[in-house]
Amino acid sequence: MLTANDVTVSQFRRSEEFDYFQCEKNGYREFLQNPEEAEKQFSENLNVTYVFRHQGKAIGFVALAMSSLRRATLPNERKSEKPYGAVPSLLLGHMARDSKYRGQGVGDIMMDYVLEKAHELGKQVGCRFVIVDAEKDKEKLYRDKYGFELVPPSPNDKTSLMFFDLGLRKPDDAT
Amino acid sequence: MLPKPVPVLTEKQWEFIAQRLDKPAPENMQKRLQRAIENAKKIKEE
Repeated sequence: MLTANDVTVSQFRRSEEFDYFQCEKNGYREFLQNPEEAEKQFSENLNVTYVFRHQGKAIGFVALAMSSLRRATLPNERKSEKPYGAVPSLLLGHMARDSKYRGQGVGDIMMDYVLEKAHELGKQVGCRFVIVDAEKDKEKLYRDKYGFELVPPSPNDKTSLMFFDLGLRKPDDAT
Repeated sequence: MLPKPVPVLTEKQWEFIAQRLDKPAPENMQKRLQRAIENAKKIKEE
């Protein structure tokens, strides 16, 4: 079992380190076959990929982007209603670990990093939630292991929109 | 590989989210966040 002390992190640097990276999730084949896309999206300010390493080898990555939970319709004039239509949030766009490290606690370590980053971000620019639009089969993992909550689903939802509430800002959080 | 666009919320979903905003996060999330803050400091940035 790995701990946070065993892991290092940096922004995505080179595609070669993913040559031996394996992942059960089919959706990541595109990234693993074309990891330099992460660098391109970073240069375009669209998202940032963070790579986690153990003894110098890539063991997982997350991709983060600013986002929001938005309501479909504009707010009306009702006084009781919140006068805005979006809540600033950090989107966990992708998270994957090398399947050779399954059961080693890598997901927990990466999620700790994401939550802490969102917490710090919230002190600087406003960020209430970490959100993830998870595949249905990952809903239990995000809920039970990482503490996320499900937004009540709509009929025909193919994915599970979930959020982690960073809470109210405390006065001593000011920087 | 860009993240998928986040679905917009229906009125019912928005009400669920909006009523959370002036309340603290649930206790389990507060504990998880505290743990994350402590652990993340141990991850060495390269």
